[in-house]
Amino acid sequence: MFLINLEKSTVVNSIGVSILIEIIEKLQEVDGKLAYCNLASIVEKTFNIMGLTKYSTIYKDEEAGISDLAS
Amino acid sequence: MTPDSQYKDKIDFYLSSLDELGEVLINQEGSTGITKAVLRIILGTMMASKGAVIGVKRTRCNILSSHGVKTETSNFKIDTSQKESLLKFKNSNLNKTQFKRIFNSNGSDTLSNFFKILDPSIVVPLFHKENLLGIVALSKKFTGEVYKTVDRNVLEIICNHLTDSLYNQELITSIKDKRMELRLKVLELQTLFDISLSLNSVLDIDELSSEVLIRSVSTLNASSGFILKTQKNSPILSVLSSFNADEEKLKDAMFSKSSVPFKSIWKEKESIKISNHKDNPLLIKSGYKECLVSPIIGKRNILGCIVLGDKESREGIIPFEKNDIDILEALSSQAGIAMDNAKLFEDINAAKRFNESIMGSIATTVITINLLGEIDSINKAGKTLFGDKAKGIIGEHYSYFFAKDKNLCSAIDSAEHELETLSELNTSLLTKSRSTKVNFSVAPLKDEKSSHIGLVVAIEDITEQSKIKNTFKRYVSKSVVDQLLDDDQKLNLGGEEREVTVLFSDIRGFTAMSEKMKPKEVVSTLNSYFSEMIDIIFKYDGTLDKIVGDELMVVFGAPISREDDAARAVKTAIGMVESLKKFNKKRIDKGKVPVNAGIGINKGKVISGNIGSKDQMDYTVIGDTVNLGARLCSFAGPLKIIISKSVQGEIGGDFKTRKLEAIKVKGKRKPVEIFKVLT
Repeated sequence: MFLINLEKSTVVNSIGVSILIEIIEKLQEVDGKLAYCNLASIVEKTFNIMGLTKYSTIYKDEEAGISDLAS
Repeated sequence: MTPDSQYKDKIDFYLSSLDELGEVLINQEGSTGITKAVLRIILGTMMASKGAVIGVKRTRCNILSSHGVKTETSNFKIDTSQKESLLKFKNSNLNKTQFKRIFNSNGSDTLSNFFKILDPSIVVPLFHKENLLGIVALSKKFTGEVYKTVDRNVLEIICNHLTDSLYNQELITSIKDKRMELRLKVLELQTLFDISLSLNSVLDIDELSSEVLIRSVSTLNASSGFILKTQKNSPILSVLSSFNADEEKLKDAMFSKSSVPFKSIWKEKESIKISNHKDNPLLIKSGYKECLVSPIIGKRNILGCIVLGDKESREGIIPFEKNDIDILEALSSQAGIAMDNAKLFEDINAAKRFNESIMGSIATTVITINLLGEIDSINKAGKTLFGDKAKGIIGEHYSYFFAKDKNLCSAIDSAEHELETLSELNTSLLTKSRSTKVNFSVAPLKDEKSSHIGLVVAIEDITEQSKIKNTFKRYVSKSVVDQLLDDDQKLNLGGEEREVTVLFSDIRGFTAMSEKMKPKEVVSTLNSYFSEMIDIIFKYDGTLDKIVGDELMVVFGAPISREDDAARAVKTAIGMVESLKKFNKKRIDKGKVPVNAGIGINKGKVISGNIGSKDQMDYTVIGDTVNLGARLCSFAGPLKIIISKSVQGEIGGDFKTRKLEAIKVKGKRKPVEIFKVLT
């Protein structure tokens, strides 16, 4: 699983989303998963609308993501 | 092996290949998986050592699967003319001579070059209708045999299935793309919706504009943007907010609404796209290759504009589309409404502050009560009146706050039910203290549509004034009346003759002085002046007979005579002068005009009694003595005391006096002797 900390991203556009979708597809081929943490509310909303959250996980912060990864 | 059985084996071999193909097509998922598997079947069936399945999209070719061939890149170019030539071989295949004629172009990134490396013996174009979806290329058989017709036929069957599969894949991809597009549309709508929501919640212009800008930049995939705002009395547009933009460049740039391109935007009130204009000042100043400018249109005028620059894509900067301009316009019109709202909110706040400052400057306590009976507001005067008690007043029910003042509570209750204004004068306000005297009035509060929205209670603290009034009452009428009531004989309307001392005082130049002051100031000056003077009059048991304008009339010896009436009158006068000096010093220190009164005292016979009409009856004294007293007062200079001979004779040597020149008085033949009391 890859965990991306998006703490410093205030906003995301469709290009960013398309790149993330590509990463998710590539990871799916090797049974990998993508996860994010520290999403701004606009970013989280965008991810939901663009259907990213179906194929990836959102964590509140890095700690939560890593502890889930370890278990 | 007979030719027959050899032929049968061949058929079995082909059939098993086709059977395998069917399974692959049913079970495999994803285009790479299918093409890999199909290529394996093709190579096995045809007994070829090398081969490739190439996908075609417009003029781009992409190796979907290959075997036995290695290239630096998997992407190649194919010309439109090459595609057209291939169309002749739809549902067929090309031999070496045929495809070499078509694929003869040069360049390492061309499909021709790839074919040089692969060196195929047979090439099958995969057409769906007129659309070239891919190409299958096979090298020679490793057995060295040539491709026979049956090989070509079987290959065609397999390739037809592959075409169908590629077409399906393309459909799935396009559905995926469409779904992505749909989601982007939803995102655009959501953005518009979000912004309209923030219109209702965010009222700070800076916050709003940066929200609108960030949403615009992200929705349109612009690389950056900024918002310019019009300024009062200046054509220069100031940068209200910016996102990802080159701050330094913006800082140095000067944008004027009367220059290109803003002048025409301001005039046409329409969004524009600026591109391919190397000389455009906005492109130069912003450093953009291309930009969109959309005016932010308010109710009355253009408030500013949003500038977005350089649309990004996975392949680099691309031109903005018509749809982008439409979205930006929708966003900027939202921004216009938002900025109008924010301005309105600011104006309302200013008006509210104005109202509050008016309310604050009123000396009367003003309390508003809502329909639930809760206290909604209290002004500054009210907070001063109630002191610490006022701290918890907001939101409290009036019946709790004014629990001690039953009359006020019942007035509020009736005002609410009758929707009438009720007032009460000179009543105690126990909520504050036992000694607090107030006038209050309760009035229904109405909104602009005249519907009842609560009550307003005005409380005027008259504790100070009532002290004076009460003393007036006590000394001028009430005490006199009381004394008279004790002795019925004195209650005769005709009156009686008695010897009294009268003291008059009035302010020199009062009319001129009051013309220079505001009415409110005149009243407050007189009130404080009288209150000082009356204190002294009471000290020496004078009876305040009347106050007319700035004039005081005090009687000593009525209704009850005392031996030292004249002496007390003079003491009172001296006390008044001394007190006035102090009073004036304070006034001068505050930059106010001094109050200069002159005093006259006379002693003699008067008629005393209740004089007046049935309705307005006052106990007073009349006669020559009184008139002369008033005349003496008018002779007295500022802060001077003039007494008549009768007074001077009475006080003897107790006070220093100086005889002045006798004066002529109307109605008297002889000049009247007068004396000045030396203070």
